[in-house]
Amino acid sequence: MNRKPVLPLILLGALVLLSFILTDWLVREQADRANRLHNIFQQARIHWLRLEKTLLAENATLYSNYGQSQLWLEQLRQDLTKLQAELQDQSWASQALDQLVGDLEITEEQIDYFHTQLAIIKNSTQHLPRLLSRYVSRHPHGGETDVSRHQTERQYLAMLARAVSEVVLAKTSGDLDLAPSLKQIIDDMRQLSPPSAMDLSFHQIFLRHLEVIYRNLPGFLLTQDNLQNQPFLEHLDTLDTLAEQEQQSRLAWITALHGLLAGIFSLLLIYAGWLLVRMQRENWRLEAAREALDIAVVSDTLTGLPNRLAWSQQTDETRAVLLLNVDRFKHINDFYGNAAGDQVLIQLTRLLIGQLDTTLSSRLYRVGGDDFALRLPNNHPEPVMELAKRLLFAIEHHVFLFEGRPVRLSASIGISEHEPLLETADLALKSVKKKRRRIQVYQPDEGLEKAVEHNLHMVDVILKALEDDRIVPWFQPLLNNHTGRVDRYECLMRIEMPDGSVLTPWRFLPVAQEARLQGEMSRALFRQALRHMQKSSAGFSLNLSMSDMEDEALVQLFSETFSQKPALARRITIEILETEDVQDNQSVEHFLQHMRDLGCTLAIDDFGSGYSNLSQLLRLGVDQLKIDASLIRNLDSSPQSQATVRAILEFARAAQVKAVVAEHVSSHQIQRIVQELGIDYSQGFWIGKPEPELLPEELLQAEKLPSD
Amino acid sequence: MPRWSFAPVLALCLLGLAPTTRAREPIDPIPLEIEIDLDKARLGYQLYIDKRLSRDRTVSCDTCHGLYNGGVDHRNVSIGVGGKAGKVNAPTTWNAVFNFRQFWNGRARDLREQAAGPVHNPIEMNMSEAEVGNRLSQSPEYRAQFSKIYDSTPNLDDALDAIAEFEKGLITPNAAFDQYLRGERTLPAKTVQGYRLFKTLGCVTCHNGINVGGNSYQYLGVVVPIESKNPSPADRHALTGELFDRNRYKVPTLRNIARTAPYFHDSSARTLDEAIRIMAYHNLGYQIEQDEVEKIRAFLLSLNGETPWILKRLFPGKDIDP
Repeated sequence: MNRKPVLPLILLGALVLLSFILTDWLVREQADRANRLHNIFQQARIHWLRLEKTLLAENATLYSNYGQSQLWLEQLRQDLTKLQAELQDQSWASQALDQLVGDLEITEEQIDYFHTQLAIIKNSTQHLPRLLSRYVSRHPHGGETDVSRHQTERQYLAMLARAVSEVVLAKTSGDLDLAPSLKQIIDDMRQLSPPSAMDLSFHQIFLRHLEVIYRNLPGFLLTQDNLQNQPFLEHLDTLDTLAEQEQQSRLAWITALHGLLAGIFSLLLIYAGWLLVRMQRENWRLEAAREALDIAVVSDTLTGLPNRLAWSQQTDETRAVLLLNVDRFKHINDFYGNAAGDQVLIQLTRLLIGQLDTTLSSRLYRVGGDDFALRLPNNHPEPVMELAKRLLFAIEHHVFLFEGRPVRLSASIGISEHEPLLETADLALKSVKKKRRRIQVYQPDEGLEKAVEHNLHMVDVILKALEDDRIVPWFQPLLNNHTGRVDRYECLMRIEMPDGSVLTPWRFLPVAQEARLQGEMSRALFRQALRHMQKSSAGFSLNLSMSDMEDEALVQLFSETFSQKPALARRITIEILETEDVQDNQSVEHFLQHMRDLGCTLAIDDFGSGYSNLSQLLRLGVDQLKIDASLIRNLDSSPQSQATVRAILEFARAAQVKAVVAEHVSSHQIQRIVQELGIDYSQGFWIGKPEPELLPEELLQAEKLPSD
Repeated sequence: MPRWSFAPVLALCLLGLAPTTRAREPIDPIPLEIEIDLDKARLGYQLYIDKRLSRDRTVSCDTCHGLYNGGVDHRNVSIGVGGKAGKVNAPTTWNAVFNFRQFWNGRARDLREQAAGPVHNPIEMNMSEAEVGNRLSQSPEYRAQFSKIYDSTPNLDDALDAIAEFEKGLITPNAAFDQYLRGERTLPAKTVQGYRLFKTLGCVTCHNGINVGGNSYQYLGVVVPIESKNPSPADRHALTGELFDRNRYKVPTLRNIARTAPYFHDSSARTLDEAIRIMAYHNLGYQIEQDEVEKIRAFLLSLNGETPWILKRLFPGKDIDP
């Protein structure tokens, strides 16, 4: 699971949450504010209307509580304070707000005027009828006998009544057009004097009331008009509308923000989806890679076949295993190059798969360089041997191609039906080469297993012998045909077993070579032999193989020993096998040269058994030749052998070889021929068998010399 | 449904509608109590009676607005620092909270603004803001109180706030007339007749509302001007310069009017009867009869309230003379 997408996803979540909170908060805030504003506007409207209603009532009724209108004014002042608090810093509102504050100040002033003027007008208007009534009650009708006086009184009374009427008319109509007639009355009354002197003060008071009304009426009406025409509500509506517009624009802004957030949200959702898809893809890819890796681990990259690991992992039931090995495949690689080998293997794989049906082709493994294993299921109908033959036939009759050149192949097959299948099949395959059959079926009693056991046992034997110093030299005498005396021995390696038996090299040498123990054994042998050599004055032959001479410890041992004991070195002959090619091996050649310089004699063992590298003999300055046993063995019966031996002797003389040895001299006849041929030394059972001890010298002389 | 059943239903409805209180009267009763910050009011009381607030430490608020003395000093004009005489009769601080403006000409919008006036006035207390702060700060008592209430050192602003808070409590509820308005009692016939005259003659046109005045500006001598040698120092004209405002004053409250003689801004009326007569003649253009004066006086006496509420609250048992 990739961890990277987790962080963006968390951020996404947080962003979404934040945006929701933000938007929600904005909308809430906006709604709250709009609500508050709306409430204040509504309150202000109601208070204004109540104020108007109160003023109207004050105008209409005789007496009222001015505290009421003061109360509404105070409420309105508070409403405006709230609005100012709500709309402070809002430039769009300031003008309308200032207008409203101004309106309210004017209203307040006008109400102050109104209350004063109203009180004056009301009281005087109220008092005129009261005065009239008092006048009438003081001057009862018909009480006056004087006609002219009565007439005057009646005129005066009519004027009072007219005045009252005019005042009521003017006051209730609120029409200034009626003011002139009121003025007329006042002027008229000023001309008049009351009918009786005792009414003078009454007259003056009445006139004052008229004057008060006349004086104050225009102002009162103006104040009334002013109050009625106050644009407070209009300005309130203006501000309300502005607030509404402002709110709309804010809402538009919030809507835009909301849209933006929604857009981002969608994008993020898409991103999240993409991340998920990518994660899934990644998972698929990883899974595929893992599977590929699994396959790669258990399959062979060259042929694509399952490999050895896959073999060990398979659990299917298997009846038998065919293990196929290409013959001399190393030769193909060496001869044509590795690319050719690879090509051939690929083609071989194709060929094999082509030969197998589908159930079998899935059971073909490449278990080694050129080893192919085929698992046969329990129910496979074709006999195993038939299948093996068919495959070999197909391989032998197929022309493999490398860069257009034909390459012929043959193969061998080991078959096993015994557990462990592959190992036993391998054993069978190994025995193919020995038995010279192309197909070998593993048989539990075949001895292969025993051989393995033997080998393992032999390694143990060798190691134990090394440990116990039981690697010992046996000495076989060489007869000097010129003197008739044994004056040399060949040191032969033996292992003395704890039970007293003795093992000869053919029993342990292959194992020793395989286990790379030979060098160590040779050193052990040399150390043992050294004791005998020092007790005797005879010469000694030592067999050294290539691996011996490549063993640094052995080289050092020889070098040190012979440097310190030059006399001993002159008695030592180092035998190397004719077949061994030392020419390309600088260190071996150098060793031999060094030994020779120290006084050792160089000898070629088994000369004539193979293809001798004569130039090598000459270059190394070989001192001695030992003619192969195969030539000596039938020297008495085969003229061919005699001819060959003569030729060798010819060659030896020409090559200035100092001595020639005949081995495997098994009879008197052969010894005689050897002597006749002029061979310098004889070695063989007729001369003497290998023994753990050296011969007493006197014993040898008479007995083995030819009597003639 | 039988026809006759309509009548009792209607009667019941009318009974239900019949008010037990006199709701439509132009005068409102004073509330029995008022919401107040008692801590501030206590401090306000201390400051109200503290003569240190005047230059020569001879004058406090209480000097001219006696707390147990009708909220006034009964002088024609008040005497300030150094014995200097003021220019107007001191209006009562009792129930002043219900006035729509303060001072005779209404130049202060509220109690707090009003309280600042005399403190700075050279012939009243003659103090600077800094000096008030200094003097008050010398008192550990004040320092503790200001710190506790205002989280500040003593200063004029907060002192005025405390005084105003205290003055809010100087309300005199339960006047006989208020009880009558609430339907809690009846009044003597003379008093009721006086109230009726008060309304019908037109007194109530200006003296209405909770304070029976104090909610509008009106002229003195509307119908018959009052002759005066000098222009009044206390009318609105002195404040605004408007011709319209000459002889125009804030209508004084008639609450506890019997306890606040002498009357008018210039103390030109020594007695209540005199004041009633002057008002009737000059302002109403009405030559009032003696029995009418007595009736109106009877009504005005019914406006006498209890000991100011906050004083009862702070000093229980200490009451004014009824």
